Amino acid sequence: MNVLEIKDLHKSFGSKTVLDGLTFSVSEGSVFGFIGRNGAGKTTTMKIILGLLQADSGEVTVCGEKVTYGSTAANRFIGYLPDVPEFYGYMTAREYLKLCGEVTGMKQSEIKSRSAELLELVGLAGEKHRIKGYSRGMKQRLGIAQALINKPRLLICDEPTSALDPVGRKEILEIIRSAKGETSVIFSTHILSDVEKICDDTAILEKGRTALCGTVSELKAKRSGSDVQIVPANAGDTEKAAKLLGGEAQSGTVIVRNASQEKMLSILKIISENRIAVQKIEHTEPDLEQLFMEVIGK
Amino acid sequence: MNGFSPFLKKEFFELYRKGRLLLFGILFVFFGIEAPALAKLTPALFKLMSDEFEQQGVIVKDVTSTAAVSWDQFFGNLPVILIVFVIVFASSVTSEFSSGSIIPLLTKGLSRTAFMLSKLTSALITWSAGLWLCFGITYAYTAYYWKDDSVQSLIPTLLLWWLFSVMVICLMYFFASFAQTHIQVMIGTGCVVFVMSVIGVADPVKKYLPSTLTDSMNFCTGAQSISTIIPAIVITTLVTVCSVVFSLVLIGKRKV
Repeated sequence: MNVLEIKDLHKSFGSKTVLDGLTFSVSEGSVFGFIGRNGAGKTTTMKIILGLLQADSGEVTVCGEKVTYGSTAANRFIGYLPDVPEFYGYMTAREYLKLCGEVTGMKQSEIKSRSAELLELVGLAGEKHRIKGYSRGMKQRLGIAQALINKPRLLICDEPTSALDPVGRKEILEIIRSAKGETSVIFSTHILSDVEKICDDTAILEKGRTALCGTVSELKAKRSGSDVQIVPANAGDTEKAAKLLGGEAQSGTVIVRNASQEKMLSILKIISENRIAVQKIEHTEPDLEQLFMEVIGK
Repeated sequence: MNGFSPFLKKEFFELYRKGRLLLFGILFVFFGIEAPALAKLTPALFKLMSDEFEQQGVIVKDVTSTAAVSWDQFFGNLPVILIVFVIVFASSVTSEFSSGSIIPLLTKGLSRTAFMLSKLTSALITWSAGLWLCFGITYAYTAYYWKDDSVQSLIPTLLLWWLFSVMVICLMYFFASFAQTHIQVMIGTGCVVFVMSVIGVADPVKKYLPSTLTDSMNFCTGAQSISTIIPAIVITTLVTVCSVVFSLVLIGKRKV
């Protein structure tokens, strides 16, 4: 069953079209990576799912319930972590979670036990200070705790790791991974290594549409082969090598696309026969970054 | 109206933690004491300065103060407290939207109507409690020091002032429902009150204007009957109700 379904979503701001027929779905229990460059429309999509923004046309359903702008009915299924979460600085984490629990209509006893459980999960259980003194990473962790307070069926994280240092990123990814057991996650980002680490399914958003959609391994398989990168020892040989190998010359590096093992051997042979001194030669595995670059035409 | 009660609780908690309850507590108590104290000290002050006045050719005879002096001072202080109140509360709605602190709660099911009404309720309760506390203090001191009957109908007079102040606070929340910054809220509210005062200069329209409700000394000294300003009372109530209704409509359409 799908917890989220988006069909033919359109949204423009003035003359700028941000979403142009966006369609994808998130299945129950999965972590869904929503990839796109800055300004691609990821946050716009999320705000439409939350009923915070009005779509021009198209349909969004969360757990079978249609989302309407201005209404918060479907939000009972959703937990949301904004890209830069902002909380009430004069409260402690526990006080803030209590407020969130009360707004969602939870019982006091339930709020107490759930808060303790979540603060433990995000590593803020021993934190007694007020939120105004929190680092960005701590706010992000509290953001996940508040998003999970009412056991949502869908957790929406808008670029949760973008502004964090490597340690903070690792912690957040771990928390999201551990939340997977109790909720489906949609996770927008432009950090592709994060997607490879934790996502089951992925969609690449480009020009307001889903340019590619599938599991991470399916997307990687879309690339027919891996690349070979050759860095000649003498920069003057780059053009010559590119011509001989049938590759592209890019700032001192020759890239031969979709190269099989057979092709690799023939490349080595040509280099040797033409006595081109090589500083580095590398057979790169296909990764999401290359695929993403191809999709966005870079 | 999902989330009204927890959000109202949060509003009072915020007022307490940010020290605003204490600030207004001190302010209301201070002005409550200041009005009778100043009235009581007025004869002594005149006596102290009588030599200086005499050199300038002004002869000061025995100056006596009455309860009316105390109440004149009290009603004269109220606009100052209201201005401070508007300045402090003007950012209440706009800061939630500009910082994004309201987003997690809206996505948790807090309705925008509940958000706006709890903001308005907490402001009105704080203001009303403070105003009546201030009145009570002045009333107690004035009754203790002066036994004259220079003022009457104090409670209806204060109710009129209270109605005017409620209108100003509701107008402030009307502007806050669509303004981007607290400065815009203050300018909007200030402009409406200023325009009312300017129009009020013309006598024929005065009985229709909400600002007439603040001519307190006229009412409590019996110079003007409250029944003569019924149109102003009706218009003030209408402006108040319209401000609340429109603020709820506009907050529902506000982009996050």
